[in-house]
Amino acid sequence: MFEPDYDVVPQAIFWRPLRYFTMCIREGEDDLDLFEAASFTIGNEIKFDLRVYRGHPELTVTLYLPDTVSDERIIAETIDMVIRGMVIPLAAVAWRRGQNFEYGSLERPKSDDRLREKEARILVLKIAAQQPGCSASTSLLKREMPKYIELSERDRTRSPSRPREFVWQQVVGNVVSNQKSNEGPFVRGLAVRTADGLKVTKKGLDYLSKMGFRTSS
Amino acid sequence: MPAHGPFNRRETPTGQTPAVALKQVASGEIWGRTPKNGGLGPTVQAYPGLLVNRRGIEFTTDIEPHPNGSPFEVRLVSSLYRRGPASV
Repeated sequence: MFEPDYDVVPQAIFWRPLRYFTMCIREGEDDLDLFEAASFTIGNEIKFDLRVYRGHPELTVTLYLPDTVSDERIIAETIDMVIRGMVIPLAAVAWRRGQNFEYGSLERPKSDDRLREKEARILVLKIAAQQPGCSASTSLLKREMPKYIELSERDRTRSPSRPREFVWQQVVGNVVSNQKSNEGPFVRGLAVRTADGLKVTKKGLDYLSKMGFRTSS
Repeated sequence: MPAHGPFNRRETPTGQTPAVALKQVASGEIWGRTPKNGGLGPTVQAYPGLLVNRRGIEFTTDIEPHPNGSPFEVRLVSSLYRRGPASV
């Protein structure tokens, strides 16, 4: 994390809030407006900012690269690298450089638009990592989840198998309750099960640091 | 008739202040800052659309927005900005 000393150009927009990407958020003001931001480097060479300005829609974040980066191929590769490194679902990419756009008009697609278990597995770690002892109950995870992702109509439909819950709540519950999933946080050693939820392990914290969510300790 | 806009700039504590807005309305000009690396030249940054229940300025312009904007941001690169009807 660093404070950039260069101007930036918007190169992509994601349907996720800034807090989805990082615990380290700073405030600033530039020629456009007041903003909240986080600055990152990949391999000491690629620098980028994630910012949300006051005039941007809620629960979106814009990826900015230094204005010295103008080669279309490098821009595209960097966007891809950020998407991969931060494990951003492709459905969350609202716009990226090279795609046509109209000012002020960006519709969130409905077809792919829902919380999937793959994304929820990471989000529960991010939420728990910010709690005392890096530990969170399932009810807390469900309470916090809507702050990290704008839940869609599909997310808010009733679960067919658990009618007292919405689909998204069931997805979060599944992540915590399914301890044997090879892709889940427990088998991967990223978290351990607690009586009422999960606790992020050192390996889990390192995993979050690697994707830029938290600074290394 | 100006071809592009409306765009808006929100009031800020140090940049787009009420005093700056008054100067902009009186002169019909908005001045941009030259990027730190020299870059494209003086650039005005703004949001697309009108101000809605916010303080700031609204403007239109003959200048075509630079393609390095985004759906949420307009960048105008030129030495001269002419503005149509604006409100402060």
